[in-house]
Amino acid sequence: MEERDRAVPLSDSLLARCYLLGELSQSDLARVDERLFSDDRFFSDVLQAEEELMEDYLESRLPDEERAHFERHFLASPSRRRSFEVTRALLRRGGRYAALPAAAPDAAALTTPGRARLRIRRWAIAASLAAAAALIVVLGKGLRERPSGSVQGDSLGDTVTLALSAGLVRGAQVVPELVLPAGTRVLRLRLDPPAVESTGYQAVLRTADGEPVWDDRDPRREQADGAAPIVLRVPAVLLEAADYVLTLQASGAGGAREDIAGYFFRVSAVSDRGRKR
Amino acid sequence: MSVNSPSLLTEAAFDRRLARLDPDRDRAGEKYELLHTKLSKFFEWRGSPWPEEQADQCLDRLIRRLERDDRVDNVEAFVAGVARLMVLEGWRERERERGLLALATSPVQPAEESNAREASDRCLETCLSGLAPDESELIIEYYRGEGPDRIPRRRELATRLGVPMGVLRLRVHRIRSRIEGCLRRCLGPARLVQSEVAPAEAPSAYSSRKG
Repeated sequence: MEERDRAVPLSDSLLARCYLLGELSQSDLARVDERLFSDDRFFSDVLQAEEELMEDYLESRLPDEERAHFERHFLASPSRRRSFEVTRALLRRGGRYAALPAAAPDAAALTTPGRARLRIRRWAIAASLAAAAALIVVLGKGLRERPSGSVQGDSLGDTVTLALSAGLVRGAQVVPELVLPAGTRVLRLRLDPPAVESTGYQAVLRTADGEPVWDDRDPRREQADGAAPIVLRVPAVLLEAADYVLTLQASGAGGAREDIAGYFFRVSAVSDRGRKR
Repeated sequence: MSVNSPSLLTEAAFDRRLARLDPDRDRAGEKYELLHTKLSKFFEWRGSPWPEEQADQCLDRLIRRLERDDRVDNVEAFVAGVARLMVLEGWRERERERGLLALATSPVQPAEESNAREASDRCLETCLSGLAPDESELIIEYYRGEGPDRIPRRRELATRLGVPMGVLRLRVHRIRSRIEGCLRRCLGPARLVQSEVAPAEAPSAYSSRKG
């Protein structure tokens, strides 16, 4: 293990990185050990450095020398490797949604300029409703089932459930509409998928003006029964008062995906929800 | 694992011990939790194979000391000293385990790797669904996206929650610890880290500890 002796003190973030890569002298190591317990901020710096090292390694951003240190020292310990594997699994899952934008900020947490931007964005969404109708028609072209169905909403604890029948997109006379009450954390969508042969599904939620909001690459049926509804759990924090289009895609045997159903619903109001205690 | 591990104590006995850290029960609980988090990360960073157990043992030593003698002026310094001593004590044992690790390690074939990844993904979904909804949302949001793009997302998440980044990181760490325990139970200890050597004694504290 290479140890570094320095005349000039390292910054805390670099010190933390060297600590994790096993590059500190014994005297520096002892000082770092003590600071971990006496200095909460420094402890957080080391947590951050660990997070950055693991993520940089997994995404091939570490320079060669650091990469070698990481493999020789950091991954040599079973407990650090367990932690590393958790990061790897979470990143792999998180990367499935890489194309999506950051979650919409909670309105209650926004500063005044933030609120102004949100108002402008909402105005833009309202102004684009006419364009949204066109989008819905375009989406509808690929659909195998025509609109007919019903929507029902209920609320249990921090979850609001909305049942959508297939084809509420094209020609729907009544737009399914819901209010997300205070404390809502999850919008649970129960979908009746059309009866098509498929090896799997994918659901993509967009605003009516086509902006991606969320997706689920592997939505599951409520029960193993092949006729059971598909259930999606959308984090409520991603939703604001707006119109939404949900597209359900099915994968064929060759892996090709095809739009098989579209669902349209409106969130008419959101209370101050999603703020963690 | 120590027989005095908190996981084996009655709630009343554990409360009495907590009261030694602070007369206010909530503050004592917070102090205990932060100390445990720091200790488990410290032991992990210093290469202990079972950091959670060592964190329990270290806190046991602290509590026993507090029961014998209230005059521990600086709890953090005391804990740091005990923890460093435990690292030195455990060095010889870890060297032995490292030898076993080297013997147990075998190259992972691509097919095995692919199976392991699929099993890990399935177990992760199971583990996420076992968390409280706000916890699973938080951890999913925290790891959403790719590369440097995650950094502003995380800052935004902290702002939305109204907490500093350090507090968010601690919350994430606690959720991760529970996911790690869940993954080990789901995959089996040999699968989460393929070359890992399981301890002689099952780590019961992992499944009983609250986030």
